[in-house]
Amino acid sequence: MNRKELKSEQFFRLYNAAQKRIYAYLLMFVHNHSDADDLLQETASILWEQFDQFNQEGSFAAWAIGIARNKALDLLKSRRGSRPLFDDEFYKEISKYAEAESENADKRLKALRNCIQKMSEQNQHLIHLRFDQGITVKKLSQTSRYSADAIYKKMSRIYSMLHDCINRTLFEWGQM
Amino acid sequence: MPQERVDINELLLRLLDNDISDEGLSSLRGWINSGPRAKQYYCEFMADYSVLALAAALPAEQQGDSCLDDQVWNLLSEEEKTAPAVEKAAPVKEKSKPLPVQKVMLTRTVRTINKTAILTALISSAALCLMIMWVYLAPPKPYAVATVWDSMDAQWSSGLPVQSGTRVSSHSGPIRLTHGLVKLITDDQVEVLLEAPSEFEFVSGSEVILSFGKLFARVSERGYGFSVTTRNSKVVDLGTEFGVVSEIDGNTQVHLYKGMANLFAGEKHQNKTSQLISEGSARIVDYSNSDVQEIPLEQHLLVRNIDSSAGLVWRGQNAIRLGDLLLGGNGFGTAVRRTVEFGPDSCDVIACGPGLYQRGPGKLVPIHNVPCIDSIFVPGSEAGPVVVSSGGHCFAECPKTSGLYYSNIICMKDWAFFSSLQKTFEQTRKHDADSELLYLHSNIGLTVDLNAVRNLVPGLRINSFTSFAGVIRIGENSPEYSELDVWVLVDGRLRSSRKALRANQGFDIQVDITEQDRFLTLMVTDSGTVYDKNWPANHMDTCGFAEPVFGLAWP
Repeated sequence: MNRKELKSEQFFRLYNAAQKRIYAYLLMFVHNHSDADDLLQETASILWEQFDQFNQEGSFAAWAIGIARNKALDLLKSRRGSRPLFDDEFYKEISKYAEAESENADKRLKALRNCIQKMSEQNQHLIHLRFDQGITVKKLSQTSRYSADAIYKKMSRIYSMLHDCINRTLFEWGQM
Repeated sequence: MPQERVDINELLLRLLDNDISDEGLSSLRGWINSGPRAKQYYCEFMADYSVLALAAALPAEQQGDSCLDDQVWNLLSEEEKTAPAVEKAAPVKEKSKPLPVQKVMLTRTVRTINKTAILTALISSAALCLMIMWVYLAPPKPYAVATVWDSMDAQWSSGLPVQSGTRVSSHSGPIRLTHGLVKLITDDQVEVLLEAPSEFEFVSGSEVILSFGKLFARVSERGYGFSVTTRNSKVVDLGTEFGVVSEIDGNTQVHLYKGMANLFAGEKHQNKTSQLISEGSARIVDYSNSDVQEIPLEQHLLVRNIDSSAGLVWRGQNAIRLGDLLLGGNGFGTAVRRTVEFGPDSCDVIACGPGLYQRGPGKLVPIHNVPCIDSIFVPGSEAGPVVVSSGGHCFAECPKTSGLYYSNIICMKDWAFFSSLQKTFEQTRKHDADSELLYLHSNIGLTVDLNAVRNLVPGLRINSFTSFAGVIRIGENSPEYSELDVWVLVDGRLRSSRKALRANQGFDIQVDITEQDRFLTLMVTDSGTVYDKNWPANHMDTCGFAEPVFGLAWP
């Protein structure tokens, strides 16, 4: 394996490990999955381009989140005035929560998988359609006889159950 | 399961899908500012959503098909009916001790209302409403992000003039370029070339939306990350020169001329695919399904630089044709004339008139009426230094010649009728029917002003001169034994030559040109053949310089 290939492999290993944290962080900032998708891709490109500057002894995730934060802030700045969810103060404050919570992304995934296993087949199927297949709520409603409102309500209930289950599971595992 | 949490989840899900009403957004805002627990919950929700979205939530074997059948919905519906009832968050009632009761006599008080206070309250409320509406409904504030650097015959729909120095703002609404070309430079030093018909809008200094049309971007280090968004794609720069064509039917073409870029294919709010595009390649994104296909890179598809003062429209050509310049074109094949002829205009000794032998004027003859030509000269009848440019450059090793020249210099298109030259030429390359030829009979030299050529391609660097020099035999009577010498000089110094070149012989000229070089000289001499009035044909040696071009490069 030549030096270039080694670099690529190292990057992808580190990036894959950090990807969920970066995405979680971006979602907390921009609260829109389309923007978060774009920002994740852009962040990935920048990380790869600047990978030579990354201090190998430092935390890749922390470095990556720093870059993701700048991209997210740029986006928010460019959209100033267009229905911001939070005030400026909150965006500063959210960093604190976002960094801490994004650290838990891997643990929560483990617990989440455990919880989904316990759900009814129908709920599992809906999660599969929405997240694994990436079918939007609008599309789900167009291809069924249920309104988008009804599907949102159903998803909301499912998430409430999942949230309780995840926190309970993490507590039981001693990770909360 | 408290109803409030289910409602919040719904609002958060809608927020993520960008499908939330103003009322919903307002509720969410109120909730999130209610305290640290709400913020904590918000972050947990987003973290869980991210793992659901990124990682397969279900093991593969448990993933059903993607079909959404009624049976599933019916079951979901049934489950909903039998789900535990939603708990209303009721106030907690504490067991309280009976309080001592004391009878108090109340006196009825008459409340007076100040009319001014009511009016003030009404006005304040209205002002507050207006302020809130303005903050939340007002479009993003435009700010200047780029400057018009140059334009050619440009007309656009913006109310601003298309002239150098005009500042272009973000969120100014789509600008439609109906005619001509515009070059903009963003505040991060990204050069953006737009070609009509196009419609574009800057979202910020680092992002431009191209609704349709052609755009070329040359991105500086400072502008790293500059992106171009079309209806179904987004191209993010990774230190590049790239072009985007947003076709009217919705397809997007991306051509990568230098460096790398990241292409995200897929419409807004849809899942996207991404891929890195490297230098020298191109892609097309299909409008109907966002499929990405590799296509051949089109080198000259997009305008990559303009200079209105020089009339330059550069589409990435890597050469400027000397022949086209001499024929009155811009060097990129725009000349309309087919031939141009120029000479020392001397009349001496042998005979006078075109096609007859004439003695040279014995000095450098400046040329003013042919673009980019500095001067011409006839080398002397004695060996030694000859002045070859208006800059005073001398060619010290100039050979002895008869001092006679036969005809003027001719630049022409359509030189295929010189079949012997064409045959020699085609031994190593393909003849381009549209190319030019410089026709120089023995004992004449031509000097090109390199700065004049440079002025026609501002911003570009001339890095070479190439041509194919071969002997032209005119008719079968031309003796095969006659010879000629070919010389190529830069600032009087020899850079390439071939001596005693005979019929059906030729050679490639490849001369490097640097920024410091000022004049290029092409010269043909008679190789020592003596003029014989009884047999002048042996003195009819002519050299053709086929496809004379200067190589161009972006510094």
